[in-house]
Amino acid sequence: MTDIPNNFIQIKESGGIVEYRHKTNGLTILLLENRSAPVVTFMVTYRVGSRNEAIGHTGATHLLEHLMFKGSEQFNKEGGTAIWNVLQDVGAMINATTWFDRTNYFELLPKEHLVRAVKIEADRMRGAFIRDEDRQSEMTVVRNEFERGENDSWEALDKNIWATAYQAHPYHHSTIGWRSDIENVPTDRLKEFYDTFYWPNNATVSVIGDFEKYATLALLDEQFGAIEKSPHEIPAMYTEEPLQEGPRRVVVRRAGEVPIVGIAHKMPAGTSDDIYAIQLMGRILGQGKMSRFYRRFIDTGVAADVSVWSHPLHDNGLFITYLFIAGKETCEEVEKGILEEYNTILQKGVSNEELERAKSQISAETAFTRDGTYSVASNLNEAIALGDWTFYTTFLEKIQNVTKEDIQNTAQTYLMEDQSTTGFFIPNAND
Amino acid sequence: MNNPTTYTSKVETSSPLGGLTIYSLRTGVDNVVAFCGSLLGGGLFASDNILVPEMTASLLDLGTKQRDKFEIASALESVGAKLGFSSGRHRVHFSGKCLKKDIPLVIQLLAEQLIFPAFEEQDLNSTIQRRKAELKQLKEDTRTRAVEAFLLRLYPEKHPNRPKSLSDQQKATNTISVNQLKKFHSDHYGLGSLNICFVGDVDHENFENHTANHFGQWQNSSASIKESTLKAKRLGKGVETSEHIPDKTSADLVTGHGIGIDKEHQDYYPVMMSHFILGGNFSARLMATVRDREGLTYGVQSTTGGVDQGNDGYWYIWGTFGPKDLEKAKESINKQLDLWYKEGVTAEELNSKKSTITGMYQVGLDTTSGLARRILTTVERGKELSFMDEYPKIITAITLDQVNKSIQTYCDPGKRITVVAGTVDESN
Repeated sequence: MTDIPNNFIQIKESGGIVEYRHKTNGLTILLLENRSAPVVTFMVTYRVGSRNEAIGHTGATHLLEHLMFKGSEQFNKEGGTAIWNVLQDVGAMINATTWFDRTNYFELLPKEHLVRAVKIEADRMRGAFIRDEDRQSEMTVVRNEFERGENDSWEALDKNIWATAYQAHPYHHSTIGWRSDIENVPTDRLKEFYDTFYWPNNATVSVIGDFEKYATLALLDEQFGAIEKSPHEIPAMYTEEPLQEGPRRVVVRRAGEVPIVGIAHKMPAGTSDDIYAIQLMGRILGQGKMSRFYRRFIDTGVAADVSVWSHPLHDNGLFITYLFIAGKETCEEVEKGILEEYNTILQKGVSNEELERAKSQISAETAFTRDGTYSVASNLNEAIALGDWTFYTTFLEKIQNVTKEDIQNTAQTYLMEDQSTTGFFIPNAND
Repeated sequence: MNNPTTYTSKVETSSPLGGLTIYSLRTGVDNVVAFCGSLLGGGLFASDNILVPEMTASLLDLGTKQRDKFEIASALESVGAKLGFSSGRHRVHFSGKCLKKDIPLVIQLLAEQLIFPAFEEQDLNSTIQRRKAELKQLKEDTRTRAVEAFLLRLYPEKHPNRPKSLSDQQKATNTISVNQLKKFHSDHYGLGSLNICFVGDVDHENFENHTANHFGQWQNSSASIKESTLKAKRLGKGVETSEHIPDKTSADLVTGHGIGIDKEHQDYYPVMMSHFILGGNFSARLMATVRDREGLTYGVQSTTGGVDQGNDGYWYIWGTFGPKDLEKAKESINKQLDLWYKEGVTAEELNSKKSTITGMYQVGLDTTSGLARRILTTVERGKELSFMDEYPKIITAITLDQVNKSIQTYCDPGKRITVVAGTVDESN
């Protein structure tokens, strides 16, 4: 085959990735040919995540993701074609993940088996069983996943910080959901969720690796082309977080060994122009031995670990510093130290040397993300989630345009006390 | 199917210096080089203080006699290069990634850090402070505690597979000195067992020149691996124990026993395959039943461990369980184990898992880092590079009879050590 199949139109190209759209059902396709190794990563990203949930069915997106492996019309245990078996029999790395803004299903496999992944994903897009007996057995699996997470002091604090920072917006609850919702959400609610969001016009298919472009488009047309677009508009999540009007605090106490401090500030949506300066600020504060936090907290033995989390999300996310206390300092003393470092940037900005070093790090890491088809897919997935896949391909260029003044202005805009949520994990004395 | 053989046979090898071997493999990635390497000097070389090997490796990137830690960090971070060190049981490992243009700088810094570490007192103090906090965190980690208790019961003092207990490590943090690190470095580090693998957008001749230039002045080390004659304890009957950790919502279970052979034994691959069929991946028996059918766990697996460098290894099942489901899960695991032990595995299962493992081998070609690690682990094991090509053939040649005999020979479900770690006192 030497041309684009008739049912697709090319939309745009960026960074070597070409976007196509299926003319009848609206499925978006992203293709990146890379023949470094005889493998291919196939991924379907649905633009639905825990931000689309509400009280009573938190964790539903994630539980549904689990049920998607329980069988579909053509791939099921009863027929001897269970999804895991069909794919793992050829050595495929297969899994799915759910987060705030998206759910993705992926297969990294030998290139000659690409067709298996395509057929499975096409079949379960509209043909998944979502049976009550499967929900019952899978609910306890997910509950154990929840319990494993609750074992971790940091995860317990992180959930509390998000739940405190957001009152109305669904980023309030973590993707795994609340325990009672995991245990009690009815199967009909999961089916309704599936019927609302799992449609070709709410999905992006990404193919990265060693494949032939036109033949693959023909295969995608053959397998996905017959699926109709949703009979309804995909509902928009319209809840906005009201303006925060003062600092918030939360304390988690339970058995544990190491105190943890987390300080979060509201930041803009992932598609905001300010997001690039925020990424650089996060690196200058917390990435590598030259960072301000390393010098102040790690090098001095105050902290066992310190990190800055500033992942761009679809809606307004959080800029969070986490510090695990190693020394004798109290949570309050460490909090004061972190805020002093913020304040220095607010007052004096950053140096040319710091800015250039952070840009060089991102430049190299951008090249590193192109190493491996799964790595590209994973990065692309997060860009799709925030609403613009070209975020991945244009990120470096936008980073290079950030100035010292941009970073100081951004700090002054977002690192405001009234927009903060501070959390302490304080270990109880052990029994 | 593309034959991975054609891929791995492209590895270039040379020894620019005695005791230093470099390997390189060109892949399709542009501008990026992943590297990793190792030399003897890991935890088993400890003498007076069990933490000395680990602390020695930890301080390698905290300054050299020529420049302080921030000058080194600045040089690397200014070009976005990554380089880190860690201490394993036998070897000190290093790995990283950089752009092709920065290879000369990275090799220079790698050599400088390995040959001329500064070992400053204040850096040791802050590193110990951090290590103390990490050890505290590990004491409340249910998986760490379950595995630790399992191995401490299985292996006698001085056996290479016996872990350093968290309590002993905590005590050792109080008595460690800079002089001990300097002496350890002087006694064990050097050319002799140094391997470095480069994968990606590589130029082998360039690596030869730079490594010869920067490692040329390093001393030779006589460090060598002394194979242990100690053996795992053999139990007359099974034992079960628990590690109580307060306020944990999920418990970890580890159960298994010694197998008495290492990776080079002729029966090793049938043993490995038998456990892959029992619990090697999602479609294996344990996940298909205990998780997928009965919903009793998020994860459960069966595998072998501790089989390197002539050591008699072990097999074990590991899983996580909520307190409500723990007893049911134990019953379910025992049922699967008994079925596997009494009836063996089927030809269909064996063929399926052969295909899985050989396919996984091809999928492992996806990243430069993965390929570099594969080359390094092959040479560390003392194998020729051709072993990488032979591996899929070894797997394909395993027979059903070998697998089922290996189950009877190397497994006895009635003689297991079982450990549960978590908030278990109240629930059991």
